[in-house]
Amino acid sequence: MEDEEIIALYFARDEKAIAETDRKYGTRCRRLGIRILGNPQDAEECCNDVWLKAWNTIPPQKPAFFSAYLVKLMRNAALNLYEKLHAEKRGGTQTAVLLDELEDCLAAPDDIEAQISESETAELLRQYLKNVSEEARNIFILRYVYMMPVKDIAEKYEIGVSKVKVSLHRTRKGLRDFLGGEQL
Amino acid sequence: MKSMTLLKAMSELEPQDIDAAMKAGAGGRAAGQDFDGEESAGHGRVIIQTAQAKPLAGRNLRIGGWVAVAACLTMTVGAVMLFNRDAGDLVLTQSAAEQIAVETGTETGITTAAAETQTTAKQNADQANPAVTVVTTVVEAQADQTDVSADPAQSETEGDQTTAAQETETVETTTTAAAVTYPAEAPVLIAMADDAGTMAAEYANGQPEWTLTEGADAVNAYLNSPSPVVTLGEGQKSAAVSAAIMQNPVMCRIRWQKESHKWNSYGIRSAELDADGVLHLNIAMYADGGSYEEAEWIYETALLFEAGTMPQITDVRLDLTYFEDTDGIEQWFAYQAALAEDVNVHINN
Repeated sequence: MEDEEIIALYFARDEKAIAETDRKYGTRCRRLGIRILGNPQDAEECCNDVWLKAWNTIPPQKPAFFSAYLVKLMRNAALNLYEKLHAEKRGGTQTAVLLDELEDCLAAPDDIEAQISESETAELLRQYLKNVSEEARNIFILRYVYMMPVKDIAEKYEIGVSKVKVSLHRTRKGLRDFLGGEQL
Repeated sequence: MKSMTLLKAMSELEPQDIDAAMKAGAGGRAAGQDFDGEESAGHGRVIIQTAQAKPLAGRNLRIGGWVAVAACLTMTVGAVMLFNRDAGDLVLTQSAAEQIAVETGTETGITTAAAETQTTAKQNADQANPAVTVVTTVVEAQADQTDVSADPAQSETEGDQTTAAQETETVETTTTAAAVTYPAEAPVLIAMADDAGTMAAEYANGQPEWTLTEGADAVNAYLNSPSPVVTLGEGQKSAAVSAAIMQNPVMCRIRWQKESHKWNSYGIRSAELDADGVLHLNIAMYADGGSYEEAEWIYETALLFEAGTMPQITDVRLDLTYFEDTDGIEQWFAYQAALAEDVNVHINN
């Protein structure tokens, strides 16, 4: 079923919308949840939250990119749960690895950077990514939005793992410089 | 700003960019599939045929991957595993792995590799089934096409020797080859589903369309297995895997050793069940998807069987003739070298 048809079901308040969403995007969302949280039970819990959230927000919202909308909801739900579950200790999930990687991007001390809100950070990210190459942007998004392992990204683009790592390193370094420049 | 804030902010990137990143790529997606597991109609599943086993001989070997770019050849000669499975339960028998020796020699332009493996196995005292089956495979390869001669009928059980030799001309890439025979006995746990992840989630959610056909003994046997364990499922459906295995986007996961958290994933070209109950798995490529810390997820997947359709499996043979390496064959051997104490792999570069 096409995304438009699924969204139409939401607008018609037809509960088949949830089943169709699960059928088409359930695997992607659960896999993303597992990458973040490390186990299927928590991922499933988040997934159910996402379906509910989608049900409650569509309408009035009518996402032009339905899959990206669901990915966003899933990331937020999973990352929030991750924070809750790992308040004091980081586990061995992709999330922990990514958080370590992103430390590179933090140029200024926490007390300064903490003043920047998440929405402001998102705006800076959008600005920065407009100025990188399409490939670098896609690799960066696959890594930090979809939480895909480097090797999977390399397979997807049929390039070497080292090239992916180099691309990510350069993008992170550029982001660090960009964030530092914007903030100081 | 904490790194978590940054990570969360990624969710607010432009939706079209997020969407485009997933849709972009160098291709390789099978029809009807998305890279990250999007469900859509038409994707394949494990096909188990009850027809007779097809002989391995006479097939042309398609060389793919990065090796093909340089018109080189990477060959891995077939290997065989036998899993001895009690018909009524999953009861382990003792593995009698003696030695696996892999000797790889490399010279400029020409690589010659030979491996000689001697396998000794003992039969299950309680059964008449042979404990180990060894298939002799000889490969001679040149240029970009290779004829593979194999005689699966040369199966022996006691004191059998397997010799494989290979000569490969290379242009510029180091090519190695070897034959490895794994004497192994293990319960066979097979999962069949459109998508292993969805299946596991259903099971975890208490709404499985799939049911366990084996009881607690099977679970314990699985967990305590000292030998390799094989599971089948559609797995991650990555682009490379789907492209490599073409019509059968099926993955096989193998935990080579007890207590290992490492599950190796392999793309499968075919899975056939012959009239004797021997499951032939033709493995196309190594598809490492990471460290698989989510072992529990895979574990649950591995315990699921299609209700009422669990075939009677007596043996399993892994055919690596078409094995297409993506990371360099040396990495593969290096991994093997890090395996269990009862398996010895010698690498000579």
